[in-house]
Amino acid sequence: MNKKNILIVDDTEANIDILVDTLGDDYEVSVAMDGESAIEDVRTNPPDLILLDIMMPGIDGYEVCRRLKSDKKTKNIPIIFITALSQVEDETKGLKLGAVDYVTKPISPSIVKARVENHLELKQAREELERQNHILQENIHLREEIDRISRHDLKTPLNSIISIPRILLQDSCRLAPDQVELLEMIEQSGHIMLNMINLSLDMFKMEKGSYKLNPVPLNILSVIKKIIFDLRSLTDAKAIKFNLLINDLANNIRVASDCDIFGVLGEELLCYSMFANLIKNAVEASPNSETVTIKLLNKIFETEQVEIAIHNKGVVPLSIRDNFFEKYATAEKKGGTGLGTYSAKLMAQTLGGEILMSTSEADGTTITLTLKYAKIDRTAISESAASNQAISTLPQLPPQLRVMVVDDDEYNLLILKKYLNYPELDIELADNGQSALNKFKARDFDLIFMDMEMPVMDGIEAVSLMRRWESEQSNRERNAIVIALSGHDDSNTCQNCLDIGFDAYLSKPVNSRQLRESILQFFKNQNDNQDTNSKQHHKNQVEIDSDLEDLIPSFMIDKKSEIEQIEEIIIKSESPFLTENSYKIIQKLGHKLKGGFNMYGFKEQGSIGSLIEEAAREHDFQTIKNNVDLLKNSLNNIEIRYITID
Amino acid sequence: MENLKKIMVVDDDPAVTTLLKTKLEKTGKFIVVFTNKGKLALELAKTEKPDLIVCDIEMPGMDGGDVARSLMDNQETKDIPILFCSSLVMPSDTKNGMVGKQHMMSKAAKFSDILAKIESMLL
Repeated sequence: MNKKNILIVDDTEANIDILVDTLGDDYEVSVAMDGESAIEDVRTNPPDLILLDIMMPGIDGYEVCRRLKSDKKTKNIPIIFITALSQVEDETKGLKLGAVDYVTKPISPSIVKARVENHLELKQAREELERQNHILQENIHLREEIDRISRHDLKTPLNSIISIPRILLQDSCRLAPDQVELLEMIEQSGHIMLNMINLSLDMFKMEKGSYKLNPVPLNILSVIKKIIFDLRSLTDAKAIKFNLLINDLANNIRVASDCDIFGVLGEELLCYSMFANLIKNAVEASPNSETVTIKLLNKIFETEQVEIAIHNKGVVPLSIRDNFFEKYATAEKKGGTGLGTYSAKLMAQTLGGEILMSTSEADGTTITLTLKYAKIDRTAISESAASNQAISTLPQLPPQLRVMVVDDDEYNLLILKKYLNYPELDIELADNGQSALNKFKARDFDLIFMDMEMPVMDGIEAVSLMRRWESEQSNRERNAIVIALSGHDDSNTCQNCLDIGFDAYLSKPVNSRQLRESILQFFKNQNDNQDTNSKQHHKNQVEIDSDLEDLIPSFMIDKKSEIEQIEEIIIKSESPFLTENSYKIIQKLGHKLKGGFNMYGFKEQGSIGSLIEEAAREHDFQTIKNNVDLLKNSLNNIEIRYITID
Repeated sequence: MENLKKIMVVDDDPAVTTLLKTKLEKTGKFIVVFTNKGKLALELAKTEKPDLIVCDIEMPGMDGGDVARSLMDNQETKDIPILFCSSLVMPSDTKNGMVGKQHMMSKAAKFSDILAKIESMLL
C-alpha cells in the first residue's frame, strides 16, 4: 500500500529533524521552510496531512491555514499546528481557523505519532462516508427520475391500452366469448394502473407539500357507506359484518341511521381513497366472520374536530408495529406494496388531521383518525346531490356556445364529445392543428379544447397561429378561449402553455367535471363581468404604448395570476396571521406587480403593487387584503387606449 | 444591416424582458437577447458578447449584484457596461441615470428616458 504523504512546515531545522525522524519510517514526508512555499507545495502535490508551525518568517501558520481552508481544493486536508507551550491559549485561534489539532514544543515523538495516525484515520473515514453519501444521493436522484417517468410518460400510452379494448368490444358479436373476457381484463388492468399512477402523482405532490387542497364540507358517512358497498365482494367472501356507530349531541353512541349526517372538511376523492385503504386493510386483517366497527365521534364542543375509529379483531404483527405508517412497510400480505397505510397517513396530514394506530392481542387493532369538523346543512346536501345527478344543463351559459375539440386520437375525440354533451354547446371536432386552424378561420369559435401533441400541426403551433390570426382581425369582439389538454402535468409544461397563448390547461385524462368547470370558469365569469361592467358607466382610461398592444393580453394573464397567488395565500390562511414565508412570497409578488405594471405604463396599478410589497414587508395583513381588492377592481375598471409614443 | 448594437436583458419577470425586447428592437437600432435567470447571465454574455447589459436588481437566486460581480470578474465580460433597471429606485432617485458610480434607471421611468440612457452609454 502507498505510504501517506505528510508535509512538515517549519523554519527551525532542529524541529524538522525530530519530526522527520519520528514519521519518516511510516510516511512519505516532505518539508517546506516557509508559509508561501508550503502553499505552493500543497497546490502542486496535495499531502494527506500537514504539520504546521505558527511562528515563521513571511506569512505565519495562521495565514497559511486560512488560505488553505478557503480554497475548495485544499480545505479538506487536516492541519495540525505545532506550537510552543506558552502559546497553548492562542490555539483556539488555530482551531477556529479550521485546524484539527495541535502538538506542543518541545516535540514528543510518541504524541506526534499518535495524533497523526488518528487524524489520518479520521480523514479516511470521512472520505469513505462522503463517497457513500454521494452514491446514496445518486440513487435517490435515480429513483426520483424513474418515479417521474412512470408518473408522466406512462400516461399517454396507457390511454390507448384503456381505449383500444373498448373499440374492439364495440364489435363484440364478431368475437369469441373468451376473447371478450380477455379484452375486458386488459381494459380493467389499464384502469387499475392509471389509478395507481394518479395516486402516486397525488402522493408525490403531498410529499413535496405542493398538493393543492380544496377542502369542502362533506358528509363522510355517505363516503364510508359507498366504500362498504364497493368492498362487498371482499367482505362477503370473509363473512365480515360492519357496525357503523355515531354519537349524538348528548354524546350517546348509537348505530348510524340513513338520515344521519357527519360533516368533515375534506376532499371527496381524497377521503374516499384514504378510508377505502383503511377499511379494506381492516377487512383483510380481521379474522373471518367477525365485525369491523367504525365509530364516528363528533368532538366539536371540545376541539372543533372529529374522531373516526376503525376497529377490527386482528392484531398487527410485532415486526411492523413501530413503522406501521412508514413507506414500503408491509406485513406478510401477498402483493402488498406497503403504500396503503403510508398514503392514508399522508392524506390525513394533507387534510390537516392525524392518524394513530393501537393494537393488542386483547383488543385487536384500532386506527384512529382526527379530522377537521365542518358544518353541513341538510339543504346543501340535497342540492349537491341534485347537481351531481343533473349536470346535463349549464344554465349560466349563453345559448349556443361554439366549441371545437381538437385531438388526433379518434377515441379521445369521441369521449370528449360525449363529456361535452350539453344542449347549450355546439360541438365541432378536428383531428389535428391544421384542420383546427382552417375551421377556426372559417367560423368563429368561442371555446377550443386542444391536444398538444398531434401530427401535421401540434397544439403549440396551432394556438400561436390562431392568436396571430385573431390579432389581424379588427372586428373581433373577443378572442376565443383555448384550453390545452396535455399528458404532462408538471408546472413547467403548464406555464409554457399559458405563455404560448393558451388560456388554461388541463392534464389528461380529463373527466367531465373538469371540462364542465373549465367552461363555467370562463363563460360564467365573463357574464358576471359584463353585468358589473354595464352597471359602471365610468371607466378609467389608461394610455398604453401601441407597440405593446400584442403583449398586453398575455401580460394581463400573467399579472392576474400573480394577484390570484396572493389571494390564494390570504384565503388559505383564514386568519390575519401569515407565516414569515407567506409574507415573503407576497412581498416578492408585490414587487413583481409593481415592476411589471410600471414598465408597461399602468402607473396606478404599479403603485398599488408597491403598497402590497410594502405591507407584506411590514406584515400588515389588512392592508395587503385591501390593496389586492383595490387592484382587482382597478383592473376590471380600466379601458386601455393605445397611443403612439415617439 | 448596418451595425446593430446587441443588448442583453436580465430580469426574472418574463413580462419585463418581453417588453424591453419588443420596444428596443422596434427602434431598429438593437438586437435583444435575454434571460430570466440570473445564474445563466454570465454564460449568455460570454456566448452573445452583447454591447450592453440591462440587469434587474431583485431576482431570486442570483440577484443583480451577484450577476454584475460575476460579469466583472470574468475577463471576457468585464468591460461590458451594465445598466441596472430596478423598481427599487424611483425616477427621482437617479441623477442623470446614476446612483453613486452605477448606471441605474427606475422601472417606472419613461421608456424614452431608458432608451436615451442606453444610447448615451453606448456612445
